[in-house]
This record gives sequence, C-alpha cells and structure tokens, in this order.
Amino acid sequence: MTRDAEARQRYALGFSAFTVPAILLLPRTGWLWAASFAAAGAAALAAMIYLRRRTAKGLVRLAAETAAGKGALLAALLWNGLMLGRIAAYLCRAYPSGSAFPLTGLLLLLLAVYAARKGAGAVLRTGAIVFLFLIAFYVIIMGFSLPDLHLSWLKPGGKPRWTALPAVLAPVCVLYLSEGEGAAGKPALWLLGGVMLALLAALVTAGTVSPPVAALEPFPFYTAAKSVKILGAMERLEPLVSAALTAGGFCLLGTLCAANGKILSIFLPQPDRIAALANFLVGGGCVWLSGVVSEGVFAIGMTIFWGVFPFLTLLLASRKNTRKFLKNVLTKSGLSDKITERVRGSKSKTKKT
Amino acid sequence: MKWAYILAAVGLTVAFGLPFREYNTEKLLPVRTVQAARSGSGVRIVTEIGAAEGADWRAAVANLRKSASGDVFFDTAEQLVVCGPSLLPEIVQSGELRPSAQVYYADKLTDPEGLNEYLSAHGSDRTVADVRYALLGEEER
Repeated sequence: MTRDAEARQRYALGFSAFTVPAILLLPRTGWLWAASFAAAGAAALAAMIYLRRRTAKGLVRLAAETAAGKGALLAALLWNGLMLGRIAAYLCRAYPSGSAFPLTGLLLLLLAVYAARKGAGAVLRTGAIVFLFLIAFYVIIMGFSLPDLHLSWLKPGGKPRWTALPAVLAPVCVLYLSEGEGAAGKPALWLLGGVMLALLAALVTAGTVSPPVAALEPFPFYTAAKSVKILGAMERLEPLVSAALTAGGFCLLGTLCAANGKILSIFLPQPDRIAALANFLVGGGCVWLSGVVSEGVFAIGMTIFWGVFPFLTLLLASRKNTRKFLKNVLTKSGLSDKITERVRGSKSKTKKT
Repeated sequence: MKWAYILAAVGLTVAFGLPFREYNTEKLLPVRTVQAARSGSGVRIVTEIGAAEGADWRAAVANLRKSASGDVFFDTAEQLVVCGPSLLPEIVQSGELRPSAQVYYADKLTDPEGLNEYLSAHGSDRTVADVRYALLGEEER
C-alpha cells in the first residue's frame, strides 16, 4: 500500500473516532462552543501532524528512546486502560431506550480487542470502511434536519463544558499507531471536516430541541433525530443514530486497543496475546471504575496523554532531527570545516589580545 | 482463537442479558394522535389504539400499554391534543413524545377516528420542543 493510501486510512480512522465526542458530547455545549472546541482540537492535531512529518520514527518509538519517555508510555498505557472503560461505559448511552449498560460497552470492547489483535492494519482498514458509512449517514440526517430548525434557537450562546474540551483530542490516539517516516497525505480537509461535523451536529441539536434542553439531555442528538422529516413525513432515524455512534465508538476503542498494543511492544517481545487480554480485562473492569472517577480527572488525563505528552515528544524529536539535518548539510557542503576554522581563528585572536 | 471471542461474547450476553426487547412486527401499534385530559381518577388518554386512565400521565401510558393487543409506540405520535394546559409539563417532560410533535388545545376529548388527518391539514405552530423550552425558561426565571 502506498504511503498516501495508508495516511488516508489513518485520517479516516481518526475522523470515525472523532464522531463519538462530536455527536455524543459536544452538542450539549451549544454550537458556538462545540465549533470552538473542535477547532482547538483540529489546531492541536494539525501541529502534531506537522511535527510528526519531521520525524523518522513513530511516537511510541521516539518516546521509548529515553527512560523518562518509557515511564510516560507506561503511564499512558494505564491511562488508556481507564479510558477504554470510560468510553465503553459512555457508549451504552447510544441506546437510551434500553438498559444497555454494561453489555453494549463490553461487547464493543471485545470486538475492538479482536480487531486490534489482528494488528493495527485491521483497525485502520475497518476505520476507512466505517468512515464511508458514517459520512453518508450524517450528511443525510443533518441535511434533512436543516430545513426544520428553529432559527431563534440558533443564537450564539450556551455554557462551555470545559471537561468536554479534551475529548476532542481523541483522534490523537491514531498518532500512537504510526511508524516509520512521517505521515503523508493532506490532513487539512479531514480536520476541516471534523470541525464541520461538530458544528453541524450541535446546530441541528440546538435548532431542534433548543439549547437549554440539549444541555440537560444525556444524548441530545438522538432526541433531535426523532424529529427528522423526509419528504414531509416523520421518519424513525434515531436507531440509525445509535448504530452510527456504535460504529464510531468501535473505531475509537479499536484505536486505543491498537495503541496499547504498540506501547506494550516496547516492553514485551511478543505482546499480542497479553495486550488483547490486558485491554479487555483492564478496560472491562474500568467500565465500573470509571463511574466513580470525576469528569475533571478525565479532562486532565486526556489533556496530558492525548495532548501534552505526544506534542512534547514530537516537538523534542523534530528539533533533534532538524539539528541532525543541518549538521549533515553543513558537513556535505564543506561549510562545517570552514565554520570550525573560523571559530578556532576567532578563539586564538581573543587569546592573543 | 476466534472461538474464544465468540464464547466470551455469548458469556457476556448470558451474564448481563440482552438490553433490547423482542418485538413481533405484526403487533406493532404506532400512535399517531394522543389526546389527554384530567379525569376523576387522574389522567385519561385517548388514541387510535384505545383509551386508558391512570393516576398521572405515566400511569395512564403504562395502562394503555398493558391493555393494548400489541406493542404501543408513543414516540411515533405526530400530534398531542391537551384538554387543560396544566397537564402539559408532565407530558412533555416524560420524554415519551418526539420533540416535533405538534401541540393542540381542546375543551374535551373527541373521537380519534379521522382526527390525525384533520389535524394534519390544520397544523399547529406549537411543538413539544417549544413547550419544553418555554417550561425551562419559566423554571430559570
């Protein structure tokens, strides 16, 4: 497979994973905040993709070069385990009318573990296929919702839910999967698409159920989908919203499981079986444990392990690479010797004076 | 290895139980118009499927579901006719009706036969979402 095609799969997987916060969490904050949060996430991701292009190794390999990096990777592994449980528990909300907790989350986790056991490539391929379904479905549902929106409810407003902000960093987990030369492809359209999805989902929700009701509902986009009319007749599209969220959730869980596998490969020679078992047992246990951890703790953890840690690792590695690159260029062009001579000359002059 | 995953999925399903009810497609009863009014024993609701009474809206809905010959779906209702606005908060906050269901006010309950077609031809400006929004605004004030 060409590097471009692989990069497209990576972006498609990231987009599919991003649909979970964009559909489940962000519509509760109002369209203005949802779009602002998504734009902030896109900017952070763009910076990381830019830095990743300047490094020759993947994020996990780069971090593993130092002892501190290895420690941070271990912490990220534990954090991802907790997040697996948290996301699995959250995905049970995809079926508001049934008592979906905990079976839906656990089955999705099991499926994600199975996909990740087949390798990161399997998760990437699934993400690319799921993306096509998700984009077609959300375009249809949002397109048919737009004509019936209450324009008076679309005034900019809403209260920012700061704890939901770091959730927009979810696609960063895809960076944990990349290896070798930096990512190719064109990420600008994908990032713009993500921001548009978050904006439209929040607009449709606010315009259908009103912003204060959206802030109170556990899954407001689902409630809004109950009112979609196709050719004047109300249709029951909300079960499809549940199905789409399930598919997006599978991509997010699969990405995390595959990322954990990559991290474990640093510490263990044959990590596949252990990674699968650990992902399911730790993630499954955390489905219940995550309920007692506060939203603030999750927000801080996501900021550190999906934001600060990958960004700093890539930043330090790209600076190191730039220095190496300059050194190579100077040596090859012979400028290095001239500079050394000049430096020596200036030192001897200062000694004489 | 694949079998281990299939067995685990079966085990989880047996342990926690399927979260969905089984429906017989021949017995699905989608409601199109709901009428609600206060009665001597609490709340009376009338639909094309049948009528029921209960101490409050939820109880009346539950009684209608019990007495119906199939599975009643309230979130398919396109219109809500309320006799007495004091019932509205209870109905819209129950979440049984879809946000875009139109709200009408009436003096008394009428025969549901042909009511859906009549109301469809005479649309209402007010929806369940409007009422819920107005109620939240009142609570905040």
